[in-house]
Amino acid sequence: MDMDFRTMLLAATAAITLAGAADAGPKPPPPDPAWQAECGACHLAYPPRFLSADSWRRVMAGLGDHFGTDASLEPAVARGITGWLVANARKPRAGRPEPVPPPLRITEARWFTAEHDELPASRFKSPAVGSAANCAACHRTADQGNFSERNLKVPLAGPAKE
Amino acid sequence: MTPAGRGAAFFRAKGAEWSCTTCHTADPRNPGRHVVTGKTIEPMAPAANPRRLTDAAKVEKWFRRNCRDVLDRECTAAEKADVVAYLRSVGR
Repeated sequence: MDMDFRTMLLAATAAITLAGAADAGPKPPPPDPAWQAECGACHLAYPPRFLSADSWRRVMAGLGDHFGTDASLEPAVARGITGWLVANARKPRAGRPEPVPPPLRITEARWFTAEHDELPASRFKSPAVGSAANCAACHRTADQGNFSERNLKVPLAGPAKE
Repeated sequence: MTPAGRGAAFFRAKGAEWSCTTCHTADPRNPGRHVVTGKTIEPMAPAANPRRLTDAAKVEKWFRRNCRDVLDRECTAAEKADVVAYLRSVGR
């Protein structure tokens, strides 16, 4: 292709800028304090964009048996957190109907399996990771809501040192 | 038995699967560990963690959840009072 140097430089700059932007994604909302305190009490407070509104409603309606333990909240607190989760939930994709029933587990969401399809399931069960619910084992800035690939550090597959 | 003595026995008593010590360990001065998620739980004894037992709503919330998990029922007011007396007595 016949291109002068200036055009080539413009094209290269555009490509680098777009590549950086693709990593960032839309900016997450500022953390809701009740969500952070209550949903972060036992595990990482999973960001609202990780599940659809229907999934969040299902999770919040079943807190009495939340993956095997009672995580129940006072109704007013639960209502407030549900509202914030639903407002900041993952939007449905045009032309892709949401699964019915909506998944409770982030690890069963289509986007999650697509994002992690390079890893064998056994990698999530290594002693350093434990389970795919343990985002922070690899996503070192998960507690700040940052899941950027730049901050990924996957532990070695071998047994934990302790 | 004193309330703290009853509370200590209650704290160690096993339900269908778990006891309080399952997550909080047998010594409330130690940090514990969530049995499912592995998250560290700060010590329960106020002597080791002065913020414990200062927020009534928080105490009631965790009694509700954890008694249902351990015993499949709510704890009675007397049982809660015994556990509180026990936790306050540890490390003093």
